[in-house]
Amino acid sequence: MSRKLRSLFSRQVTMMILGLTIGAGILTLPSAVARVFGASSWIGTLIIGLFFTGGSYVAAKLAQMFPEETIVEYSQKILGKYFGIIFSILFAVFFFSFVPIETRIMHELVNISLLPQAPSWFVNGVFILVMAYAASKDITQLAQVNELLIEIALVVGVFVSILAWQHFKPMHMLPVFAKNQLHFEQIGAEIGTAFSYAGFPLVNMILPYIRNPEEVTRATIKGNLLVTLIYTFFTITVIGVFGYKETIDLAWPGLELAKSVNLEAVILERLDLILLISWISAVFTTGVLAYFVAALVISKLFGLRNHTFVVWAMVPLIYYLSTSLKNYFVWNQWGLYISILAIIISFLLIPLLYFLALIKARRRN
Amino acid sequence: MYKKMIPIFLLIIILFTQSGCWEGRELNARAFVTAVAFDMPEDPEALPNQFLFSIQVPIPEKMAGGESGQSAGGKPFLVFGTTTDNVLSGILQLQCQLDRKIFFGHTRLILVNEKVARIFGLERVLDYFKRNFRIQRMARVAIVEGEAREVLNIQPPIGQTPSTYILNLISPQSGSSFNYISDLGKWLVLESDEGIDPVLPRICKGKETALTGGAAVLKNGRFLGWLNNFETRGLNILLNEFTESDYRVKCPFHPEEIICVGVNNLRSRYRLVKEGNNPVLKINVVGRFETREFSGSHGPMVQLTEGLERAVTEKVREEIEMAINKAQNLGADILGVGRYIQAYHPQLWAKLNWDQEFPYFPIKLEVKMEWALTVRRLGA
Repeated sequence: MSRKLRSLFSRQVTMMILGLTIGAGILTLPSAVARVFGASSWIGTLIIGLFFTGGSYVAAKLAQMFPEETIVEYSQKILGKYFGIIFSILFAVFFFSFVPIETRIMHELVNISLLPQAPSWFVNGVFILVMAYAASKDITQLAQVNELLIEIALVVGVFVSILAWQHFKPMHMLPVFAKNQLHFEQIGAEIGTAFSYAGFPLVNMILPYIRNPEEVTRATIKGNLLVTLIYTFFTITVIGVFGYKETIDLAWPGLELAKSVNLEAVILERLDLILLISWISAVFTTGVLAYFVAALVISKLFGLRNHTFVVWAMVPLIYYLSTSLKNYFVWNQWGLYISILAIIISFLLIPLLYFLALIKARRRN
Repeated sequence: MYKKMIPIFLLIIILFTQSGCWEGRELNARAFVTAVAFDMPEDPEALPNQFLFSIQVPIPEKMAGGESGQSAGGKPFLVFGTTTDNVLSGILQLQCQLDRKIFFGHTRLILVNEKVARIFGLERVLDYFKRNFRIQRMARVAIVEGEAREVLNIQPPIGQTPSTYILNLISPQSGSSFNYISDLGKWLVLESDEGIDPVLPRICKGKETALTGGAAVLKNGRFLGWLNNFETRGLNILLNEFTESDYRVKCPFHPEEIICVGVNNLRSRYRLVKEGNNPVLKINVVGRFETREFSGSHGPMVQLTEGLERAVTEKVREEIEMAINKAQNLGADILGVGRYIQAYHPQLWAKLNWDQEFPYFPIKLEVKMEWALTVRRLGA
């Protein structure tokens, strides 16, 4: 890969992992975790995050073994052509499935708060077109846009969370791991939370575009640790403010948190709308990066020189799927499927690829 | 060529769609609801599952007339209601009488009559409000002794909008620990929490003004009984929500004379201890006070210290005990004792049937008040 194509800095890689991972999922994450872990939800969030950070380490190490290639190429080398293609298709489906769900959640957020009557053809249509336009650009531009948008969203999100500490009650965090609050039997239903952590396989597609490939493991782990810290902090805030019982009842704990914040004597007394507007950019970065990766995988599979055609070809399908996710329960079910796929890719297929690649490398030596 | 077309195409879309809100509605096409009230129906033909739902809508033209709001003649607001069995149907009925779209984005006060709270329960009447994204969690909820609708009709004595007047009365700025400060969000949290029952502020209609002080005790969303002003002050101390208050005590040397003290620093702490085999909750309350007014012939004297501290301690203890007794008599754990046991002694909590145990659970109270000696004037 020429130096010219290697345009991404390691900071941008970290931000891309943040941008892809942190999206709509964080707004619903605390209630899903609270259903399983009760008052100890923050520990649950932390543990799940650390698991995924471990997964990201393996993914980054795997990518580093093939600094000139994407996972589409080296999966075929490791698994053989046909299994490699099947794996790549699965990989593309995984990233592609983010896009309709993020679009649908964005539509829901807009309908809940900003434009209650706006129809899906308008909200979803405009959002998908803007995403498609951005995803059709090259990775450098995408990384720059992502850097800007995710920083805005995170600054506003953390600001609102800090303000919400005026209602924080430490007693809501207790007792730790009380038997009657742990519902591990529900973990199957709530596994959809994994969807909120699984952005790191991105690194297996973008390594050839990174300026210093040797820094990628550090950048990936940093990104995932930051995601884990942000999720943990957010869960602590939500549980501390609402208690786990009320959190379970909330469909959008993140938005409710913003609704409970009051900035007395400031012109912007209501912060929920500010959070929402800025959070649409976080949803956008998740959608657009997943869109880009899915299109890139498919274009590489078909040997296309440019992914732009694939991006625009996907538009009708994304629109159709986004409108078929008719309500909260349907897309949560969809989130469950993505999460299962995320777990299979993160903890089964990528470690398997890494393991096989190591064996092959040893044999070669 | 087509690459150049895409931005132009997007630009055209943005030009036509982003210049205004979707189905935007002008301000003068909205009826802003500032407060709502729930009462028992006045209509004798009302069904048993119906209540009276009222809304207060300001009249902008009259409000603009001046601070007092009366310069244009008549009240600067309108209160009208309907009999219904659910809020949304009530809104639809009210909407039929109004040419402006009823809008709840500015609703900051929800008043519920005690009978409605007892018979229907708050869950039933507030369900719409907790699901409506436009309603703030900071909207104040209060239980009204008497007709809630009448409270909405009170014209504030000093120029304010009526709902702001009542909001201020039941907000921290009221500066009185006789009020329990709560809002929709706090009620929702307490209602869902285990081991604690919620309390909401009380309002009733005075001769020309609204009267506050005291609180309504709720259990499972239903009204159980009232706390008087002093019980409410005791409860605020126990929940560490006490801000500042004045107490009257008898002069230790001259019982016919009154000393007024200001208390502004009180902390309570729960601790579960074992006495024999039985768990006992010990509540430690420590605080400081200053002398503010003497009705007799002398001012602050060093000899007063011991007697005054004892008198203030007794006064504070008496009110806290009243709150504890009322809670146990009503069988509603508004003190959060169960919440404390659940958090710090989860194994014990798992064995307890709290609803049955709470009324008889032994609670011991220790109060210690210190004269912080903020003396501004010696002598009489």
